Amino acid sequence: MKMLAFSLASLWRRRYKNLALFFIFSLLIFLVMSIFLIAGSIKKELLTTLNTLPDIYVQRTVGGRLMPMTIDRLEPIEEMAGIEWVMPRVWGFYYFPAAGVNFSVIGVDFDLGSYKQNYNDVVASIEEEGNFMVVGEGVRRMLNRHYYKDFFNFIAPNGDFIKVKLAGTFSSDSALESSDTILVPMDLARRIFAMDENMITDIVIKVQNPKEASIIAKNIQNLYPDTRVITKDDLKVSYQNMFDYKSGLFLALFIGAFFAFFVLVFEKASSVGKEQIKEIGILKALGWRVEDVLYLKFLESAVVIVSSFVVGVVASYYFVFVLQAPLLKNIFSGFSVLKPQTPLMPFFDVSLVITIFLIVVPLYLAATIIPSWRAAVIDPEEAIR
Amino acid sequence: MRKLTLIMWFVVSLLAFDKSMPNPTLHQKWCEICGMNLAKFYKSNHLVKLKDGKMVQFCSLHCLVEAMPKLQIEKIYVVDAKSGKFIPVEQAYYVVGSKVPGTMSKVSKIAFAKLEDAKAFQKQYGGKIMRFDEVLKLQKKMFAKEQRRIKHKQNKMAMMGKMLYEKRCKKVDQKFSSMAKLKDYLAANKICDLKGKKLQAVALYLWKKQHSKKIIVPKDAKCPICGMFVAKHPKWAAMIVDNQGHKLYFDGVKDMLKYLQNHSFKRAYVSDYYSGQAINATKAYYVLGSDVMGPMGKELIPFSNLDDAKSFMQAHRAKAIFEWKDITKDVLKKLE
Repeated sequence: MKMLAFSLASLWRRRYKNLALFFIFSLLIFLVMSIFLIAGSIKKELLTTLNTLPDIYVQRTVGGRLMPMTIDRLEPIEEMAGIEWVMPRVWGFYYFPAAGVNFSVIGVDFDLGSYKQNYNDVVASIEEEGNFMVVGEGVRRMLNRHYYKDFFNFIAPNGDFIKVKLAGTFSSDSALESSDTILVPMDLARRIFAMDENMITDIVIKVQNPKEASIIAKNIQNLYPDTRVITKDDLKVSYQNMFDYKSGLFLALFIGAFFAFFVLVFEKASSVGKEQIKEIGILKALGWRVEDVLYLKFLESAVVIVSSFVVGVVASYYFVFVLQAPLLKNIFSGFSVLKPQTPLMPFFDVSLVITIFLIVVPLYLAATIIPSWRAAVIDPEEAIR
Repeated sequence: MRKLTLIMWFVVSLLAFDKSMPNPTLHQKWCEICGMNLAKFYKSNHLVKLKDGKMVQFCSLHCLVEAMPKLQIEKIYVVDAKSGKFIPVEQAYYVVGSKVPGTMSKVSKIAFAKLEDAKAFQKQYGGKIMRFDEVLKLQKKMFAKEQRRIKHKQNKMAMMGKMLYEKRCKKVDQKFSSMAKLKDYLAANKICDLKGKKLQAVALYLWKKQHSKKIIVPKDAKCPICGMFVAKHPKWAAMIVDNQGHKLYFDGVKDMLKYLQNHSFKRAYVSDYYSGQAINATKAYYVLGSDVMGPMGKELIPFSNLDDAKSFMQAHRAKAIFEWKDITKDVLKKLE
């Protein structure tokens, strides 16, 4: 305890230097942590979305663009081996000019249910007839802001108004989904997008054994050469690619930050000033042993680095999840300006904190203790002189 | 445009023909097999008198065919779509493949007692007039394909049913001998505040849950042949119950067969490669020489039905399909 008080006093004697070090380290750790937290949060969001997705998507393309197809394409797929279920989808984006955002309008069969767990929650709890919709909580807030309390007017492609009752809201794990999804009965979705009665946007499939998904996808491709068949793995890869690209940008920043850190450490390590040698010499002359000196130096630098680590980590959490990472977030989510803004998903990863701790703290401790040790082994008489 | 009018016409004709009838003769409320409302599909109802005098009613010929292997049938009756009375099938004239939608089937089959009635119906809706023997043969031929399609629809509804059951129903722990009994129980005890399709969805879920059998591997079970933990590869699990009643778990059919060369068994189960459901090992089909590897390398891949095995064989360039009795030592040697 006395040792700690002594080391604090010793730090206080060189307060400007130590405060500067404390701030620089805090800033560095804060920056690195923030980057990893944003990346981790967005990755978690993507994975949450991905895991709820069906195994295979079948879309019809004409000239490289997506086109609706007829519903009778479902049947031959259903007859294939190894398929759990096949469902048609009717969906599209609806631009809401007042707020400047695109909503995803998704048609759901309120008799048969849907392929998504949380949509099924909606289907199970809603007893409604006619034109109605169930929206994500974020969408509801947005509509309320524009004075749509219990209904909304869709404008069909031919200019007709379709008045739709707001029958309820649903919650979602994914913030992206909650702030842009509108569920409507399938027929209503067709009317909103002016599609024919037996047309569907695409087909989703769940296979019994996920290992077989790629084989089944190939068979479907052979069955319908004009379609694009996408498996969940394809999606994972393309999400990952997009994500890696963004992470690469961050890595550039990160390398800069790290380089600064190493320069700082090197600077600190090589600067055992005369002053310090003298101080250690005096301590030794007073009867201190080498390990006492090292213990003192260890405490000194541990106080600086651990406190700046704690401050950096707490500040980065505050910055990312309370302030929603202004400026930094834009690097990652720049790809969908038209989508409603979504809050970052809270995310805590012990291994991330430990990794950064292990990179930063031992390095700094070593960088301060080794030169002190070198000074401590010098004969006190020589050091004081 | 022509397609569109055709579809519209089809929809109109759908609406025009109602399969329910006033004052139906109902021996039970729900179809024994699929649990659908019998009154709603009354015109395709079939009735079976069993040898012990019991009556069982089905919504369609499809469900009857599904039940047939398990029933001791004395006589079969069908509804005369004109009068609504049950007549012996031998006297019936079926109009097959008319534009009226079929029950549990893509091909509709509506029966009449008199040939004139059948012809009048045929004039309006089209189709072919057949006698019961032919219709039954046709139905049996179509059965497997249709069954697959129906199972898909039932799977989807069961998913929905699961949601509904968890949210809006009291818990049910009992087992039921038939779908009809299950639905009776749901309705009589007011288990759910649901009707129609939603109630059917819950019933399908409970039925599926009752019949879903997977090999449940204890965490510490090791394969007696290779010594690996079986629970790590649940999709490949195989199990035997030996004569002393002990349960032994294997991580693949191959190891189970190796073990059985020197041991006897009471019951044996393997996991269907596609669905993961437990199937009786002696009734499964095994695919040899595919490019799919099990936890122990080359494997015999089990399937519950021949169609699945065939399409798997095609997709994975396999060499042959075996039945249980055909698997010899030589076959096992090929797996080394």
